[in-house]
Amino acid sequence: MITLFAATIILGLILTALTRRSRRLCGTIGVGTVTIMSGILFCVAYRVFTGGPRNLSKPLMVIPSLGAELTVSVDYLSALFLVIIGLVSFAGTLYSFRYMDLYPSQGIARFYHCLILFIAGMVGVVSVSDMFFFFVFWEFMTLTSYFLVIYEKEDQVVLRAGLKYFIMTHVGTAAMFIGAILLQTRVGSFAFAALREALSGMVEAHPVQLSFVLGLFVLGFGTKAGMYPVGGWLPDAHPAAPSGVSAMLSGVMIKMGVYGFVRFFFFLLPVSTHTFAWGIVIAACGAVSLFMGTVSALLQHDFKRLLAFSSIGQMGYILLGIGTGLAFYEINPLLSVVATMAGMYHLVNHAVFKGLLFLNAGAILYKTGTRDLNRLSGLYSVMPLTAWVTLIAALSIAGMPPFNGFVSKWLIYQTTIIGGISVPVFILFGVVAIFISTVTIAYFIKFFGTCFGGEMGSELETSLRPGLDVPYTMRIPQNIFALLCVLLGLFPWIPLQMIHAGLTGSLYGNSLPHLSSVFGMSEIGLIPMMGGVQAGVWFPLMGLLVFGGCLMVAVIISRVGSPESRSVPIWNCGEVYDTDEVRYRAQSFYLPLASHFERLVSWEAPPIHLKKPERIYRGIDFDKVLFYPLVTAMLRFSEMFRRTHVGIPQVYMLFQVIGFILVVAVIVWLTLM
Amino acid sequence: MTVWLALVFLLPLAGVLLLLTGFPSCFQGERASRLASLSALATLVAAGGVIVQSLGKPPAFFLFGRMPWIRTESKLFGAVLDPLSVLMLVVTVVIGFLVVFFSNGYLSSKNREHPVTSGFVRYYAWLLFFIFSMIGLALSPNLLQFLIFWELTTICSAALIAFYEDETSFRSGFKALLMTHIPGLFFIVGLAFIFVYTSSFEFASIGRLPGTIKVMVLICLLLAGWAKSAQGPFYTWIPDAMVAPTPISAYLHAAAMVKAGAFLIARVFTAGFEVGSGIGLLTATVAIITMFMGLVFYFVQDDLKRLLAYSTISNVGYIFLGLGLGAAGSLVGLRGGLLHLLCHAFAKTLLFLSVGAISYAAGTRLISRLSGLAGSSPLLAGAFITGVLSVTGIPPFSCFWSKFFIVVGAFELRSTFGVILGILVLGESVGAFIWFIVVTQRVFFGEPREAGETFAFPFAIKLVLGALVILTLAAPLLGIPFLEGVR
Repeated sequence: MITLFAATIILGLILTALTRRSRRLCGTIGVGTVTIMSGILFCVAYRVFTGGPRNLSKPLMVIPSLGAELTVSVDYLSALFLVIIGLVSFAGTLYSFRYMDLYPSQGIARFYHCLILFIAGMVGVVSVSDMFFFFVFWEFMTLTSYFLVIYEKEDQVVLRAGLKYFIMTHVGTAAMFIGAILLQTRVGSFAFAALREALSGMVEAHPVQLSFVLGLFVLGFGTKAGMYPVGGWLPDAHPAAPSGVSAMLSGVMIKMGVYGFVRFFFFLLPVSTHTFAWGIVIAACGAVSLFMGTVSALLQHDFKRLLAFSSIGQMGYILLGIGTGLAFYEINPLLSVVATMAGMYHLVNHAVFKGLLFLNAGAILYKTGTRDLNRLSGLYSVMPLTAWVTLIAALSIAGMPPFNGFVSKWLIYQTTIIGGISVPVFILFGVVAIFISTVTIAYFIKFFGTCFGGEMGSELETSLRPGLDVPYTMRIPQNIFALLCVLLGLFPWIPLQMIHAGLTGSLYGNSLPHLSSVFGMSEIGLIPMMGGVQAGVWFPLMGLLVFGGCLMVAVIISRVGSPESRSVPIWNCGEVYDTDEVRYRAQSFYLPLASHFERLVSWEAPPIHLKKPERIYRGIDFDKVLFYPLVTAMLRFSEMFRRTHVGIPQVYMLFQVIGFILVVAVIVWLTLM
Repeated sequence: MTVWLALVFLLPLAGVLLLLTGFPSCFQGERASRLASLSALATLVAAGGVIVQSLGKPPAFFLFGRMPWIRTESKLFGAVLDPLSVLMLVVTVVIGFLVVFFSNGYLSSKNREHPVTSGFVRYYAWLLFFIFSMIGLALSPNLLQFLIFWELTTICSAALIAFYEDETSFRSGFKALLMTHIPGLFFIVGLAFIFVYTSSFEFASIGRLPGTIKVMVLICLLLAGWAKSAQGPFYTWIPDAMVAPTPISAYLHAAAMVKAGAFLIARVFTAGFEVGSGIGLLTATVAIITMFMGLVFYFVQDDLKRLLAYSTISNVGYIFLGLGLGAAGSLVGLRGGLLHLLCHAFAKTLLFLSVGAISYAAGTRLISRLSGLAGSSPLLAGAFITGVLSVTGIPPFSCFWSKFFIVVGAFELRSTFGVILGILVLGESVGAFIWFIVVTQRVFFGEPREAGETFAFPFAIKLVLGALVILTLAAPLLGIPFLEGVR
């Protein structure tokens, strides 16, 4: 399997390089390669879910001095992430096939090379069980995604975004290097199993050092996961990338940070007081990011930037979920399981709906050529499909039943509020999470309303690309994601089963409760049980049945009554204005909120103005103390030497005589000795 | 085997003689480059033969000749083949050939920065003579031969820095000569002590010296090594040496000659005696100070070559740091240092030659006057970016592996000092990374300097850049298993 995967990558790289002159052919090969890669990933994941974890029997590469081995092992957790990677990568690549027409002046082979290697890097991250090679793939993923972010390499804004992204994540990784090496020097190996030993050895003996190490890992993974404030690269980098790539960055890559959190804190860290403490830290970070990210998103006019901030917010929900799970492991194991699974479930959901939203954003950009919400309106008439799938995604992300976002968010609220009974601070997190969810719907009303609602401005109308909606290769991925949004919401049992399996081997160990004892026996709904409390009931199909019934009744009534329908212009309170001038623009939304929060969220670090550190340079200019004195001394010596050469033969003869006498004297003295 | 070894020594020397005597008259003037390439290639092949035969065998000595007035137990001259000398030999001959071949394209009247129309024979003769000296140094079985070839490389370096024969070149050449030779006198002092006390020039005989004398000798050798490798207070000659033709800067002042100092220390530290952690920590401390001194100068450089020179200072600091950690008791650190010697040699040569290609085609190497070069030549951009990612240590590029070894080595000391060292090293690495990525973006991305400008390179330049990209990527893969043999 791994040989096939590697062969696909290499073949894909070579073929795309060879066909770089023809954009269509190169694109076809690129999409084909990624499709095969995704197929292999699904296949591996399927085998793991049905047949248990799989390992390669021997490591691919060994570095004895470091105790590092490139061991490939795919357990349930890895398989879950492989599915997400495969899905979003396939959709993003297929989408990019036509989307890349937006960049006619850039080389196309470069794009597919980076994309394929980027996917390979992500696959590597989740499927090795050795910290050293984990880092190798981790940074490789960062590197390739950096090149994808700066794909439009002439644009200074894009370049600055890429720079910020690469530097911030590299610093985060360097922090993790320190942590990992501190662990490695205790056991002499980077294998996950060895690191677990090292961690458990430190729990009692060196708690302070352990906290330091864990803090470094939170920093490193948090940077990648877009945690506030270390995830500050995210709102710049995601909009800068081509939209298909944005979907992959937001849909999968930042999830690698969460993978790191889960792998490290649930699988490697032994149960101790540290689990509780760091659980609260992660949950708090999550709560802060969900507040800051979402409120910042509310104030954006650039819709890709809006989505990027929204990613910070949604990552906050995920971190809140798994942080709660970690903190309550000892207090209330059942609640802990539900919280962890809710966080992971939100991760899966976020991959789907944020991927969809970025694809939709890309579709609008493709169609109109602008990212500014203020210049958009009335797009429903030209892109109805995009409008519908955007609506689905927006309702999902805002946590509206029966879509997928609702279920995971609901579980997160439940666990935080119920957990708050024993640890009160979680009530605060839960309340923040619930209220911020309304802010989410607020900014999607803004997004959806300004984009698709109203009438189209005449200026906009002339700048549209011809044709209804977008090319069908871009519509297929949109439809896939939209369908998944609905299905994951209607049948939460399926993803939860995969997530439940993913926690096998984590700190829950053998005490991991059976899925039916957590979520009830029913396979079409959820009855979460947390420590003997039945925390609610959710049967989406039944709800849907009720809503569907009502809809049917309404339709029947309207059929029976057969009312007269007519189309009228938009009512402007009786005034007749040219609608272009008085349209309610995106920047007019939420002005009171904006005036309150602007200071808080659009805070920029003051630019660093170092006065030229002349003193340092003068201090280490060793020419003054070494070279110049040396040269001066040498010149002086030469000068003295020159003076002895007077040019009179008699003086030279005198030198010879003196020298002769000296030599004779020395020889006589030596023989006498 | 002996024949192969003799060939390795004689082939470059034969090239020098043929060039100087002007015997085959078809190889005069601009065509001297062909003879030189041929000679370097033949040396590479011979060295390849030697290396292949020596792999997997225990260290072997091939000695002959004495000096009648020096009484020692073993013969004085010849060659030793062990992992260390093979490592240095690879760096010397492989990069040597690539640089000579690169000069074919670079040293021409089409060069937009420095059109060259004369002096070819002088250039190639000195270059081949340098290859010869460096081979002698790499294969030295004892300190005496080491010293002789050490001074020969210094002379070659000074002569080649002054190649353009203008005022600054002469001054810089003189400075390089003085700054490496005068501290090099400490080498002679140390050697005299060793001979007086042990009647031998073996590397291992330092271990037989009495305590304080041993420390003094080691410090003497360190001083000489620091000067040769532009470390500590002696770094100042290397930025000025950048007036040399770029292939020379690449070879002498990035890959081979500046590594000679580190190589001397590596020889001494792995000779099989207890160096003592005091000396090890001294080496490490000076190395880390040097690294940060180099880093501080990054931010004000506008000349790409000077930037690379300071980066070389920092990176040779890494090698010294690794060696120091090795002496202080960390085998991983030692291996990391040696691995860095190999990886950095290829990566930095690649960077220098890319800059050479930039100035060849664009006529300038000032960062402020370059931008958007990626559109002008994708090959050049690929080569430079590979070099940058390698030197700054982004996985999976080459110097990442060696830097990681060194950081692990620092932490492995399991002392507070070790941890601080490790964190500082990472800090330097991140700092260098930040600046290099900023410079890469400025030079290669953004709006092109002139719209639609494309660079046309001669075949030699393209081939060498391509080969170096591959070698840079492959260096850690070959180096890591090879260096497991060093202890």
